[in-house]
Amino acid sequence: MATATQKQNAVSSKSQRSKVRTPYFASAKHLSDNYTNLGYDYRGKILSKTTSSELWANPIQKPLFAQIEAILTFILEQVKYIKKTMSIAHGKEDTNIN
Amino acid sequence: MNQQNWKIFNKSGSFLNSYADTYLPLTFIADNLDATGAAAFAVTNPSNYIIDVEVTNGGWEYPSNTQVQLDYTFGGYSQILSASEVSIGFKDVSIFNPAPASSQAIESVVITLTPDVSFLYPAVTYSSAIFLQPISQGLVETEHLTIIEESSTGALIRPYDPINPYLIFRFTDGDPEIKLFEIDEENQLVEWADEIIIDTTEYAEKTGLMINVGFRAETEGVFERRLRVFHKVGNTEYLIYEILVNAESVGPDERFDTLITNFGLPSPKANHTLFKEADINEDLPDWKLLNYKAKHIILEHDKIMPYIGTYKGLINAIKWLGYEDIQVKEWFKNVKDGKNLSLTVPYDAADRTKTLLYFSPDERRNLKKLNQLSLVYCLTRETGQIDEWGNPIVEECYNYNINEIFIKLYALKQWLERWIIGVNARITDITGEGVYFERFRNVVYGTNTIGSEAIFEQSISPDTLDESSELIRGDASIRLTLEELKKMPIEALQVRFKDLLKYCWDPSNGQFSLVDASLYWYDPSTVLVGSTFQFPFIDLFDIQWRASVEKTDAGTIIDKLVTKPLFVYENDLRFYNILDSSSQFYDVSSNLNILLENAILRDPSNDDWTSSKAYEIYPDPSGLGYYWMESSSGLDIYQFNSYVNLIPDTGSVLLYEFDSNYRVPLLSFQNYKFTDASGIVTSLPKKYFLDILDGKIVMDSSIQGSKPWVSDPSSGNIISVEYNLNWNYDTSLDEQMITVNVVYNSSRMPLAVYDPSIYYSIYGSDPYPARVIDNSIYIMTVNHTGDFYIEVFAWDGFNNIYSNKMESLYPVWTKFPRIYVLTDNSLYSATDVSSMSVLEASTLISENPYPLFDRYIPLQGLSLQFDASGTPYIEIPSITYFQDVMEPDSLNRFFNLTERVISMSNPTITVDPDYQKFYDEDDIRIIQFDKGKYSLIREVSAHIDSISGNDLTISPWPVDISISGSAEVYVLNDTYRTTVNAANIGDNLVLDVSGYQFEVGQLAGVIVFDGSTGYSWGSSYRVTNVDGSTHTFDQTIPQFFINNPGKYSIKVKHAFSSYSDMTIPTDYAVEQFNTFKLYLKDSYCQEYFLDNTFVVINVLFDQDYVNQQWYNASDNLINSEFYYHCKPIEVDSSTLVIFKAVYDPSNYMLDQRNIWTVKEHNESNILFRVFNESVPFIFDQIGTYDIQVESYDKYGNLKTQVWEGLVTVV
Repeated sequence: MATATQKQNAVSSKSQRSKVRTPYFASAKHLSDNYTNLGYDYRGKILSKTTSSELWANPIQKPLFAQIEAILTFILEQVKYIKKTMSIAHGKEDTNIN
Repeated sequence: MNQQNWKIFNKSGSFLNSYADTYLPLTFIADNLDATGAAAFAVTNPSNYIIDVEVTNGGWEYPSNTQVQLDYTFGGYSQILSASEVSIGFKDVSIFNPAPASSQAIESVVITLTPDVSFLYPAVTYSSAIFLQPISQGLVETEHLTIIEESSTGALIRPYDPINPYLIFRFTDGDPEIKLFEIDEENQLVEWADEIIIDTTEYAEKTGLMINVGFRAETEGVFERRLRVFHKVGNTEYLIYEILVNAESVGPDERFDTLITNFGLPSPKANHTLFKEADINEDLPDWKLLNYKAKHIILEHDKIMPYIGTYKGLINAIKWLGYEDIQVKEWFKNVKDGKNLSLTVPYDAADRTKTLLYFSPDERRNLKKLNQLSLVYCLTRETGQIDEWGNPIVEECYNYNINEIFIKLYALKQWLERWIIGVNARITDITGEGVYFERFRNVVYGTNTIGSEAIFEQSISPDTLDESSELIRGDASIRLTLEELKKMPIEALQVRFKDLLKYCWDPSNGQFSLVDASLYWYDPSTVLVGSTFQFPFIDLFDIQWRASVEKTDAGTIIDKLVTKPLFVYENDLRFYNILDSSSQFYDVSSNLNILLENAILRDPSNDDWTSSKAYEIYPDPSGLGYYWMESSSGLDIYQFNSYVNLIPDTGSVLLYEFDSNYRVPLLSFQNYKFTDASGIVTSLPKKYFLDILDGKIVMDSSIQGSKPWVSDPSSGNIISVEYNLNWNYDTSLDEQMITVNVVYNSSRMPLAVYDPSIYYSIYGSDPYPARVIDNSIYIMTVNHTGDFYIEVFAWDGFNNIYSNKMESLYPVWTKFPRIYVLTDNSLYSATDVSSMSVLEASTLISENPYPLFDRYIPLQGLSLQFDASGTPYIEIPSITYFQDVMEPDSLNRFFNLTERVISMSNPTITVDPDYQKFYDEDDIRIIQFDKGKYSLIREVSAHIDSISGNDLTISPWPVDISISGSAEVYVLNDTYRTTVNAANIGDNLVLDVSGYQFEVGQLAGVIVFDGSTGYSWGSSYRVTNVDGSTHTFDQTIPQFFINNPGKYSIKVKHAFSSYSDMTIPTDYAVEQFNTFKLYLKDSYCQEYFLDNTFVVINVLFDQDYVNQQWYNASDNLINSEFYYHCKPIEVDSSTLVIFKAVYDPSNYMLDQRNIWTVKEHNESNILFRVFNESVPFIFDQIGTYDIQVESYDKYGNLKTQVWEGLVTVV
């Protein structure tokens, strides 16, 4: 059970929820953005890069792995929310941080 | 439904782009390969038959034989239509390829299938999308789509279908946060719906069909939903339009809350309606705004929160809240007139610094900063442009309705008071301010030309008819004229006759203006009066003359101005009659002013001159021309914009008289007043000695001038005479200069006046008698000799003043007196023709029974000083204007009498102590002193038995000593003072004196008594420092005296136990800032024994000797007549010689006085100087004598005649 202080400072789980759709003005807003130093683009590759290619030989299992991959990506992306908590220069939905 | 003719606009009026999905496209087939671009599709009606063709693109280069192919997307039909089934309308379009060429485009297509073919309804559907602006969660964003149909006639109408009228707008799937809504205006309700059915039976031109789409989400996110439009035909709904609606809701960014809480910043969430951009009608917070404000306060709080209570904090807080159109006013109260003053606090930092500097220090002194502020919102403001009338154009800047003022601005006030402006200040009001201009009819017309420059020139050159004037019996005349009168002819002036005219006159009308003259111009009786042809002045009416002289020889303040005339001679202020001792100024009748640049007002009740300073007047060191008068305490200080001007008040007295205490003549005043720079009049009711270093006394007088050539009876020809008695220090002189300057002013008088009536009566004869006033030559009567400075002033008809001065000085002079020596022996040398009878000689002797010497002035306050080269000199305050600087070789007699006894009554004497103190049981010496001869009469010892103030009860009573008309009594303190704690410290003896305090600089005797032998030893020491009873002396004493206090006792006393005097000749002396510096010729270094218990008298010669040799009747030498000799003579010693200064005629010099100085020719020592009219003297010493006489008259005009070697005594 969180104490009152912790609760005040805590970031609600709701705000952590990724929006289902990208805001439609976002692309216009960030059209000219040029992000650098984003590090390795791990999105969608975490599981495949960390498991044996044998595991991926069976195409029937691929949708299952993709689900796991999505979960892993989501978990890693959530770490960025922790970073953004104190970096208010970034928008709440920005993912373009390392 | 003709959805192909719809045009849909969103709420901002933008056309909604849509995509047409057609099932019956047309293809245009042409043999011309260049033909391209045409596009069209067929449209069916609900009966599935083609009713129309929509050409979406006309293309170009289509030949007239273009064919049309119709395809059916769902298959079963694809044909090139025959010419009977289709007709194409062309239109000309110009293309440039690159040369211009005309071309045909498809304009319209009409298809008539035979037999008619059934297809599908609708043959075209549309799709489009709209994007709602992101909106805060919980708030509503809307879009309003307006559908307009273009009818076949071209009219713009609401969608119209009278047969199948129902249109269904329906949201089916997607996010339910997006809905259709309608406003129920009757019930003021919003009705949300997923479906709306529209009846299109009404034909309405210029009217659109409006569909309202709304979005409201409880959570943040991106939402979308499809709005589909169906045409209902029977029970079938045909999809004809599909619009994708996108919406986004914005939620709070909780990260900011955390940071704001951590920083302790004001939370935007808590006051979400406070921001200017916030809509007070919304119930829920606008997160779009609040997120921005939260980020703003996090990034900018360092410019607000540390500056709470300052304008910086206030302005930045207001900027954060968005109220940049609100101005803050600060208030000041003018404590002088009680009015409040407000100033806008500038928004820009650079301007803000000017607020405090806006006021001058003087204004700031009266302004008190109030603890109140005002919030001011703008109603109208100037745009900087002007309308056709030149009035400034204003624009509305009123951004608040009344509710917003009440809610938001009041909340702003509360919030600012709570958070920003500090505990003391309050926002007292919220006010709107506007500026309004109105054109009003101005019935007053200004003229453009306001000022003009005028230059008036007039040549006037003062001149005198004579080269010089001789002053006889105190009167001289200076004949003054203008050079133009002599040298400039009227014809040299480039003027017309008319320009010289001033007025007209005739016997029946009298004097009248030239303006009115036209009627009488040809009347022979009209006299035209103007400037005289004799004078080359067109427009010059009045003149005034001024002659001023600085008396360098000598001068008097005549008996019109003072009770006893004063004589300024050799920079001394003396009495004209040498026996006078007091003279009071007629200060009121002479309109007297005392103008002071540098002076000291001294308090007569303090008899120590140096410490008696009550006020000091001095120029400001800045040299900007203003002056200060400061009391010695420094408490009273007055500023003056120019010289300090003392003027007589009621009961005023300005007096020059011998002071009984200082025994010198002093200038004193009482009941004078002055006005300082701030206009405050201050009276000085007390008596003060006026010690002038730099200043003057100005007095007015007047004399009757001699009549001008043709007199003006109205003017009376009074000449005003201004006497200036000047004191100043000229750096070229070694003494203070005291001079008399005299300024003569004629009255202002007309240059020439003609009487036309006289001219009229003497017409035909010499016109000169008509000139009733002619001041072309003015005679200025003066009483003084010297080089006069001549000025003339002239006035023209506009009263403009002109002035000029004469280039050279005009001398007024007197003859030299002739010195005659009279003896009773006609044989000494060639005698003059005349002789003096025994009776005349006896009369002369009786008129000069004794020599009249200059007064002795005993000066007090001596101190021994050393100049930069180590040479000793005696410094003496020069307290009187009577004392001349000591001449080289003159004798200085010093004697130690300063403590004067005022009264004696057995057994008490009353002392006026100056430099010594007297206590109970002191031993004193009492000295009787001949104040005529300045010599000791007798001296006795006495003891003070008791003391009360300055009254000393003494014993034994000095029976032989008393104060009389010829004798004064003084006391000396002769008491031996015991000492303790004697020590040699460095080069000084330091000891504590019991019961007495010497003054610094005084000479003390230090006497050592040997208790065992009874011997004593002593020496003179000078006191260099006094601290309580501890005295420091300038030398040490032998250490063994100190080491053995049981054997030796040390006592101190004033150095001189009895009357002492010494005579030391003067080496030279200077006077600086009313202080004499007297250097003595003394090989015995006697000046080392002088201190302030001595006074000094400067004597030029041995008066006793002169008294002795002055002829008196007992000499019995006048037995025969005396002969005038006008050549050097040789006489035997013991011969009576009479010196006489004679003018011819003898009354040439008014009230003649003489100063005789006889010097020994070879030694150049002064034998005597006397103020007698004539000198009967018996020379008894062999030698050659130079005789000098200075003869002066009542006005101080002095003439010096010197005859070297006139008398040789053999």
